[in-house]
Amino acid sequence: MGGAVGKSLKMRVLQLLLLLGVVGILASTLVWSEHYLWLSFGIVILAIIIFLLHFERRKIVAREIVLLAVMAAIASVSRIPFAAIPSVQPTTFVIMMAGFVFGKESGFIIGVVSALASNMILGQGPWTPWQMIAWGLVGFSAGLLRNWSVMKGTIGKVGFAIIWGFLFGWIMNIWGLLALTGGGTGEGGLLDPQVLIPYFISSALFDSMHAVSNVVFLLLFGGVWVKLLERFKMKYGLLEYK
Amino acid sequence: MIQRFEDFHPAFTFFYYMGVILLLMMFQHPTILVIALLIILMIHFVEDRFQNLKRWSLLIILSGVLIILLNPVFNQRGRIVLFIIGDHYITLEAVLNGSVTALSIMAIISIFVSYNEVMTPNKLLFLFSKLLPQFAVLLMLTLRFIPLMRRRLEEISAVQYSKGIAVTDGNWRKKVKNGLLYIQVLVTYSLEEAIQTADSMNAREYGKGERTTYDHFRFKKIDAVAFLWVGFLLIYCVIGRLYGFGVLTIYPMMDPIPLTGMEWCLAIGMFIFIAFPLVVKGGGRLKWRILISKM
Repeated sequence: MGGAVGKSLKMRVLQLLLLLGVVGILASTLVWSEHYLWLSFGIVILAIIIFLLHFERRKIVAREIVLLAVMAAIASVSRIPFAAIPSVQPTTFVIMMAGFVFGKESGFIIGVVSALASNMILGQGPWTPWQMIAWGLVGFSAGLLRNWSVMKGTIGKVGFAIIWGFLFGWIMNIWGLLALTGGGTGEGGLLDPQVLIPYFISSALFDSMHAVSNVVFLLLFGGVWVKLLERFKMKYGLLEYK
Repeated sequence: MIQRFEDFHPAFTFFYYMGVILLLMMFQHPTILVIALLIILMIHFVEDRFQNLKRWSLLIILSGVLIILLNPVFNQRGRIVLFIIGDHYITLEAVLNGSVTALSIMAIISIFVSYNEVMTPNKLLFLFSKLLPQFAVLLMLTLRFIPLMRRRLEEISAVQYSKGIAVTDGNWRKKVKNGLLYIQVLVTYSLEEAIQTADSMNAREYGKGERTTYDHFRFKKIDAVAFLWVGFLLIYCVIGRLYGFGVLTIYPMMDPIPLTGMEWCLAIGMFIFIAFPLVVKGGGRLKWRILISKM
């Protein structure tokens, strides 16, 4: 057991060091404001690693890990039946439901893994870390807010689904804008409203499609899915029901 | 034995690709980036005569052209005006600014095409299993489930089709509803099955103490040499960059575009770094010739 405790302590220290790394990068943006492109990559990747180390520290049983893998696989595969309908995919919805029922950590990990695994099949690119963090945060925030009284009602959930439809697009826009402008600031740069506003308007159509499809899925299937996943959680004593 | 680039240890391969991406983001200079892009194209040519790159060429060219065109549209800053459309100034600075970003993005996507070819999921999983074993198990399971789920989806759609439910017909609302109904069946089906998978993992003593594993990839002497060589070049480039070399300052005042002597010294270090797969290939060829001549 001594080994396990030592390992856990080592991970805690590593996590702390990485956190300091994030703070360091954030501080350096004040000095190197022209290098948002690779500084932001650093922050996103470090943030993901910190969460993964947290996951690593938890002792997890076979049933939990298989459940997480099933949910992540379904989230990535669920795009297939919707291939015929442009910019409608239930991946976000599946991750959201998983977060609501299984909690914030499981929600985050399901989002991260489904993004990474589906890109392992479709091809990795510089967009991979951004998708990982965006879907990870969908699951995390769903788990975080699930006990909030507003979120128990339909209106709260619909609001949540709409917000994530746009927020997801905006997180991916950051990557797109960084690619477009090279991460510089000033005129024609990242924060120039002349660049920012047209870019966000052009993505708004896709983002609203995403938001609308989230809401449609939620209204049609939200209740059933929560019940369904809750039943599995209870039936098999998975995650938290120990 | 002749060493191929694919045969290096995954840790080294990963380090090489991340190093190339870092360098491409650091050195924002048109001349350096053009030569770097040419080297990457050469790597693709030597590897498979552009077979893989072809599939991505549309995305690469389109994003490059888009970035170059859009920059002068939004950005009128600069002292050297190339031409005027209406009352809109197209400046050399804006065009250069766009080209630098475009070149950097095009080179990064091109190197990712090579990454996807060389750094197979197998290798990435190996690295994860060393650093984050629990996460690696999860990722492995997910990757194994994806093809299984696809097969199950086909089964489900065949059954649903026989009942008259299909995602292909009906209006938008009906399609969406039927599509997610499939997924819902898939969830119930798979979660029931998953318990069996978990129980069979438990039956094999999953999570009980340390295990011995077979490692397909071994860290050999040649990997250490490669690490030292490429690591040295990377440190050399980063130090040079921190001193402010290898980047074209466009605003507020544009530097002269040609590279200075010092900058060439730095850029050549970067080129040798990126050209590592070519060096390996060339070395292999040479060894082959020597072997033939000895026979």
